[in-house]
Amino acid sequence: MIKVSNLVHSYLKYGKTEEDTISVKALDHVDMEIDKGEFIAIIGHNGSGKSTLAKHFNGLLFPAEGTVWINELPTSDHKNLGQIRRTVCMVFQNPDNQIIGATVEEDISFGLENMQIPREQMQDRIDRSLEAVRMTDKRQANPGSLSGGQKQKTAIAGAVAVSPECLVLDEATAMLDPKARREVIGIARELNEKQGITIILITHFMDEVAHADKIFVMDHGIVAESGTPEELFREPELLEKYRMELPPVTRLAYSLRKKGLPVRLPVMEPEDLAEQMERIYRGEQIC
Amino acid sequence: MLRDITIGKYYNKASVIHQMDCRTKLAGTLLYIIALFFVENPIVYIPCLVYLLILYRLAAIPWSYILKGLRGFALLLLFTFVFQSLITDGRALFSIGIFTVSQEGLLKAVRLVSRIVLMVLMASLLAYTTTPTQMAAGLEKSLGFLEKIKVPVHEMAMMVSIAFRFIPVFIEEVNIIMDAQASRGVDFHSGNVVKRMGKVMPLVVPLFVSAIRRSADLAMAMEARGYTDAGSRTRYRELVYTSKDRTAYLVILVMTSAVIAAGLLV
Amino acid sequence: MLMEIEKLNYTYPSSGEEAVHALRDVTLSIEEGEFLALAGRSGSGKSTFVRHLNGLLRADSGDIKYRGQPIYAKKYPLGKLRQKVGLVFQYPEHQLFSRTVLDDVAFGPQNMGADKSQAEDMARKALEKVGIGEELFSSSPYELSGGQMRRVAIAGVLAMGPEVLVLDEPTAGLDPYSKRQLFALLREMQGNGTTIILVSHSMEEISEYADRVVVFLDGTVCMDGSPEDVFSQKELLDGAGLEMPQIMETLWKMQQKGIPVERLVCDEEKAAEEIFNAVTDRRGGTNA
Repeated sequence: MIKVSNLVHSYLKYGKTEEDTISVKALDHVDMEIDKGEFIAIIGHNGSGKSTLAKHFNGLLFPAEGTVWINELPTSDHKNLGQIRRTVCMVFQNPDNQIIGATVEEDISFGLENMQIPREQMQDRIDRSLEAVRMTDKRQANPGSLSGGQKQKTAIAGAVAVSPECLVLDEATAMLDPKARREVIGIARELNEKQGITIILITHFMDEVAHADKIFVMDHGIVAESGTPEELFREPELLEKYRMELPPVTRLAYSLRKKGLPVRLPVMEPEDLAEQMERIYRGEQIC
Repeated sequence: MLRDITIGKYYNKASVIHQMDCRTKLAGTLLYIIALFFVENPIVYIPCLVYLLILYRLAAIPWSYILKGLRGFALLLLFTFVFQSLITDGRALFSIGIFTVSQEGLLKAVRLVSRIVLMVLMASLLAYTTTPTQMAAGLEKSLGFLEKIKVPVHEMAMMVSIAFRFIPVFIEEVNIIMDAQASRGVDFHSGNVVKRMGKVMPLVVPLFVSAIRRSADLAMAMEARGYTDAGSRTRYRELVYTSKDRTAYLVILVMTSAVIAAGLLV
Repeated sequence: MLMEIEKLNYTYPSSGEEAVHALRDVTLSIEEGEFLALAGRSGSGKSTFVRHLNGLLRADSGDIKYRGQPIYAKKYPLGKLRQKVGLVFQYPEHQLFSRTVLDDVAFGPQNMGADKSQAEDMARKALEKVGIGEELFSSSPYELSGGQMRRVAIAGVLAMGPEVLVLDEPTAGLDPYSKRQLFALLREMQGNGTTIILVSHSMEEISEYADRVVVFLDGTVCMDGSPEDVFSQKELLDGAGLEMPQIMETLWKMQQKGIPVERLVCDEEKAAEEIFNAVTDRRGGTNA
């Protein structure tokens, strides 16, 4: 549903004099294809270009070279923008800077109003989207009284209400505490599994991408690696090259493997490792 | 000091007043304030106050909020009172040193202070019972006719409602920046005027930068959510008058004419 | 003892109906040179607590002693305390305001009474410590990358020469590499005798770097001890709204399944050994 071909994004970095001013390529010939219903993760360190890429998916930025197609519609044509923004919705990093309404329900209605959804449908859409993020009891709440995680869930509800085909979480968990992070990721997975919404998760937290169907690793404006979590997390050195780090439990599993235990790699969750250990333990006792 | 500003703070309840059309409330507030200017005799302010208190009761706003709304104006009220009672000539009541308080002065002071108090309380009631978004929608619809002469009413209403939404965010931010700079040795509470002005930069520059960053973020978020211009939007809440509003208009009209009549006659 | 905090109580001055009792009888002592972490869910009182340590907030009752001196005593120099106890706020780069990096870092020392050249000297040293090179000294702070801005902001506090460095979630928004760099710096400072107090939501960070962790719950101290001791008390931890670090959680889950894991640890190597011994059941066996 999303196709990126040869995408270049550049900006001018102003120096003290005119000669110092240079053109920097934030994205340097990126190719990518994302299918409907996939759960995609795009990871990379600060400044790797992952967030810039995300903004191309929704027509917030336009390609300097190359093309981005959303369901065959190129983002470079302004006439398509309305349709594209109904298809791909975004949630951004800072919870405070994306809520417009004075109450949760007013905020959710903001997107619906823009998309010219008839009023008769709004009530129902707001109900369902609040349910999807488990915020029904906060419908009338003032955003100022919400926690960071609740604000992000409100933003997700605002997107879901539009019934998009794809939801982009642009570092939406970066400012949250671990519990809130897990909750937001849980909701994203649910939307993906139950409603078939394509999820594009932009993050630098490795523990969030364990369930992705496919991971793209960005580095210096290019897609440096891509593959399933199983492929990318097989060896710790691979990701360290790109200033990324594996979750502690994944590293622990490597150490155990090195010690000679038959661990199936990669391990992404404590539960998985504990279960594997149980099997090994029981197995040895039976022998 | 900045921690307890209440202006623009919506008090979340589902009362009759909250459910009314914003335009009804705007009209009620406006007419009430106009009517107050017809009143000369302080006695008439008493029923005006009673009317106001009944409205607060109907809106289920706790009494403590009445004082809360006034606290910011305490200094202004005190100043007005003292100033008015001193500068007005008339029959002397008593003197303190070179200052003489006249009967006319005292009357004028009472009148002025009562007016301000009632006006502030009515305006606060509007703010407590109406979200900035509703307010913006109400203003937009009431002033919609100005669009014909190319006044961007919708954009202005949107700006106002966003400004309101961000007041608490910025107050919080000011507090954090002040704490942070105080931790680097800035003493915001001493020194003469020139010195204090110098200390404003470490506060103002970061706040300004943050305002720019936030507005850029917000503009992007709004664009991503499909906001373009006014014409092509539907509305979640249609402003429709219900029987509640019709009753309210009746009450407002009766009250306004009664107050004006009393003001002219008494 | 560097700091002694006794029965600290604080209620936010509130105009609303419900007063917020932010701290209740908080008693804590902080030793010189330790790396202390403060944990607890949002609103548990950690951030309010750290604002007391340099006198930004004044407790309603209770006492704080810095090197034996009560800071609420009449003639106690609060300005000096703010120099000794450096406080780095969350997203400290949001407080940068000067035209150049060097000026911004020299701002603190100048407020503390140093003259311009002295202050710049201190600023240079602080910038060097956080790994900001000479070539950036005259840049505008706003031209730097996010990670660099954060380091400059931290240098702004370091330049005052604090004996205690308090950091409120200093790694928020940083990528793993920048986080490691920052912690390497904190470790180094601890090595030079600075006391580090870290407010963090990440149990992984705490278990990896802190000597001791204090857990706040509803304005009180509910746990206090080494990360290993504190995190292994699953029920109390749950009650405080915190989670075990991943490695310890793995060990705990194994215990629940009846595997004879002896000790719940956080360290990766120790855990690997613990698990290896448990599943191969070789404890003492090979040596015997």
